Amino acid sequence: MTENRTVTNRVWLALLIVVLCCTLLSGYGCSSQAMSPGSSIQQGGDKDPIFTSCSCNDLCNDPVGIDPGQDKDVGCCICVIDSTNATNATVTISNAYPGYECRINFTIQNTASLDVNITSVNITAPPAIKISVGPSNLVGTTLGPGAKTDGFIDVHVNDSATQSTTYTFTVKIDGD
Amino acid sequence: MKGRLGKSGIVLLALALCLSITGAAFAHWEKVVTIDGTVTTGNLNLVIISAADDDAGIDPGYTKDVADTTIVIDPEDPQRAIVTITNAYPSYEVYWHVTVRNVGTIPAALQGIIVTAPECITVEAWDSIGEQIDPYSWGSNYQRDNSGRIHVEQCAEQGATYVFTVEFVYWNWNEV
Repeated sequence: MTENRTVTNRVWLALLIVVLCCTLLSGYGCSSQAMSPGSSIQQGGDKDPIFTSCSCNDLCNDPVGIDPGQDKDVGCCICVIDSTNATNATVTISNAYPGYECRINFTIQNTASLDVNITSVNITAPPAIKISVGPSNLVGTTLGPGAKTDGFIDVHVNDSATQSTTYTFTVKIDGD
Repeated sequence: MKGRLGKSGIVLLALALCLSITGAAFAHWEKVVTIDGTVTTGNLNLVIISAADDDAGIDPGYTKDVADTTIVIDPEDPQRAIVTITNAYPSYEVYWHVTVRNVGTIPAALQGIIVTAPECITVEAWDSIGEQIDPYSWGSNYQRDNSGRIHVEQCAEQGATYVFTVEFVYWNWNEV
């Protein structure tokens, strides 16, 4: 009787190991299908769409960089693509004030061998900063392999912004 | 009983692991590009750097040194001047002069002047509403002189010392 139970437990364990292995292999198999054959993308870091350009319409260190919509050069904005991970870009806006606004233009390219559908744009920002992303048809855009699309982010500093304060925002563009 | 629980536990654990691994595998399909932004606001800071009046002896417009006026920068709020009038009489008048400097990083414009003078003291400020002052670091147009007139009316009380404040209200230049 005890021997039978031990045998049953071993069967269960063996079954469990088989299921786990199958699931693991299945998971890796699915993921590898999404990557381009020649890409150096690692498992768990599928980075097919990347930023290929990112710029702001109110440059810093520009001697004639009048703030958009204003008559003086007060605030400024820079956008930099992460040199080690082009799926990320960083925007830095300095010396802003209530009413300050600027536009960040960017280009995304699909570097994979399969289509990428842009499914959503998620914005995280405090009430003092208004962020809007365009164009309106960005979500729903399908990027074929190697294809690019342009987008923009409008930043507006609201009246509730306080002096000498740093606010952070994040724009995530999701695709599948 | 203990053996059954052990088997159930193993099965549940296997299911949980399978689900998490499968979930992770599907999650790898998602493609995200991210823009992280920071907005740092500047500061609006103006101070009175000098305050003076034109009664340095003989009362202005008269031939005798009777009344006296002092105007000083409020040590607790350098955007405000404190005026003290002593031994005044009806029709005594004096001119005040205040120089305001922009020591912040945002251009400013005069939005209003708040005077707390009592009813029998009339304070006039030259119409400088809307005048802009650029930050001191810009090197030009960083300070402005404001002047006004104080007149003691017929209803002024004898033997009274009048103390009131003159406060300059500046906003960021783009909202005045």
